[in-house]
Amino acid sequence: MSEILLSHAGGALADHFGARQMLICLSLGAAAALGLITMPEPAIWGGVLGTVILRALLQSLPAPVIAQDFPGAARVPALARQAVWRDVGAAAGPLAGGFLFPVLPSSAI
Amino acid sequence: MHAAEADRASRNAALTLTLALPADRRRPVRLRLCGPRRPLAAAAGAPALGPGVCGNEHCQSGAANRAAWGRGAAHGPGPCHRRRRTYAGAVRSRYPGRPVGTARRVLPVGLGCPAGAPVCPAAADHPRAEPREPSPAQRAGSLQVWSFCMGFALDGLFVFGLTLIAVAGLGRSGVIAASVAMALR
Repeated sequence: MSEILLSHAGGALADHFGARQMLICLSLGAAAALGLITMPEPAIWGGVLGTVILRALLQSLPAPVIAQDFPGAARVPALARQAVWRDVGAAAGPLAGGFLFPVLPSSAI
Repeated sequence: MHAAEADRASRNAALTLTLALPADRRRPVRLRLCGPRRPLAAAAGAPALGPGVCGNEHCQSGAANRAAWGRGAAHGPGPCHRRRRTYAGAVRSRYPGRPVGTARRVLPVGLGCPAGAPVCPAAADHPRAEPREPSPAQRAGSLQVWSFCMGFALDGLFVFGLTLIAVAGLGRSGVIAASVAMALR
């Protein structure tokens, strides 16, 4: 739902400020929001909402950056690589969490 | 400043520093400011007078010393010599009988250093090449790393972390936060 609502806003931001700049800034913002999740209860709400919002804004940005960097025939393979590596990361995240869960406290994960 | 000028200034500064270092470590900084030619000329006299400056406290006020350092012409009485006197006084009061200036007398041994100065420009790595655009392979690599990190953190660990939040005893609000975030996502 958040991606449906906010991807357009991400595209508009990319048009205005540049896709690469927004990709970097929003990625850093998302990392900061993830860090807030480890905080006590009032901050956790901001962290969770911030992560969801920034992730939705980020979703539309890799494609224009790849389109800029890879013209012509190299574009489609580059888009495919980006999607594959994102999915590999999405699969590796819970796996890593599962391995780390018995070793580290939940806040550290 | 062009590259050739920068190289020349750097070489002059290195030579000045190397020549003057044995006798006075702070002097080259001031010498460097008084012109492109005089520092080298002034510093060239430093090795000969270095032992005198270091070892003989009375010698440092001599006219030859002043001329060699360019200090009388450019700067007047230098704070460096005052610092040396202050330091010597402090050492004498704290450690009576301890010789002062011995270490500085040893420093002119480093006069062999100028031999290395002409070698440096030839041996140095010249980093003045224009920064190159990243190659397509580098761009692809950085995008792949970013994509993996995004998937790992925002799609993988985030969802896993939401589950932990709900389980970790944060109470009703933790469960609500996790549920809302999963629904929104």
